[in-house]
Amino acid sequence: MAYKPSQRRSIEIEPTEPNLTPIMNLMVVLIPLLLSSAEYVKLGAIELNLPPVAGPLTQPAVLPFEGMKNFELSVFIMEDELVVRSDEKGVLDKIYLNGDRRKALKQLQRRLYDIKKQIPVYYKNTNSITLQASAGIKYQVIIDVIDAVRVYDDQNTPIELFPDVRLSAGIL
Amino acid sequence: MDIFIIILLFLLKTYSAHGRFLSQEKDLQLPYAKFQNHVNIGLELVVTNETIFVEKQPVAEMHDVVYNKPPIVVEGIVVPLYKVLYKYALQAQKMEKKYGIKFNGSIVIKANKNLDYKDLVKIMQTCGKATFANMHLAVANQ
Repeated sequence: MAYKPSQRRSIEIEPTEPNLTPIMNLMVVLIPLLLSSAEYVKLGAIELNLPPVAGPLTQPAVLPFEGMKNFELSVFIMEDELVVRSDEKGVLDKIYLNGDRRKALKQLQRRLYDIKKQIPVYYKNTNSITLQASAGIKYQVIIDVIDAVRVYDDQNTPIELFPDVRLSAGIL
Repeated sequence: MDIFIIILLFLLKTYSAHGRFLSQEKDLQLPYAKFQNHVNIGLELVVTNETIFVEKQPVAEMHDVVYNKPPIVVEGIVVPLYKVLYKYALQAQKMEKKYGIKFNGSIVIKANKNLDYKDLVKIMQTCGKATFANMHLAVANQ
């Protein structure tokens, strides 16, 4: 006598899909939240050179003739003024920092632009400038001056001034 | 759904990394500059208000540097920083000899915008002395 087959066996278990709607809703909320809370800063870099070391001469000094000379220009950054100086002519200009640093830097750029235009053609290197500052000058001010001496932004037309910036180890 | 999980994990990772950066940001606020080049690859030197880090490892306290504390600062050189940089320079020179990877003395300085010039000079002198003369000052885009 055969047994009757069980009825439970014939019941097919249908696969059920998980309900993803609440998770999707959570994602939709979380992603814009994370995106909005993140802050991005675009990083850049300014290349810097150290001034050549002045040491004792090991060979007899050779007097530089005009075609070999570099145009040596310096900007001294002090608490209340910027001093532009060339090795040849001494102090060329003094720009006073009376509160508005941006205005003073524009003035510096215009002065450097005039100097750049008037550099005699026989100089070998006319792109370098040396910066020196007082002890308490903040790093942001140094960067502002570096920014100003490299490029003159005249009515959205950048003009190259002195892109080869050297930072002097000496403190005023 | 899978793409959502990937995006979420990516954002969470970015967020946590950014969180670490934010906790440092109180001390490290990069100066702003208008004209800049791309950040070059090099050794990373971070100077916050409190500490000097080389490759994320603290090497000296800024308090000692600012006040020229004798064992830490000698003749304008930050001694612990010099030791660490010199070690990296030796390693790089060994790599150059062994594998031909050229050592160009490149270093990226990420310093706080409120750092005084006299302290910046000490750090730069130290870098120069440790043969890292190819310096790049990291700045934020204005």
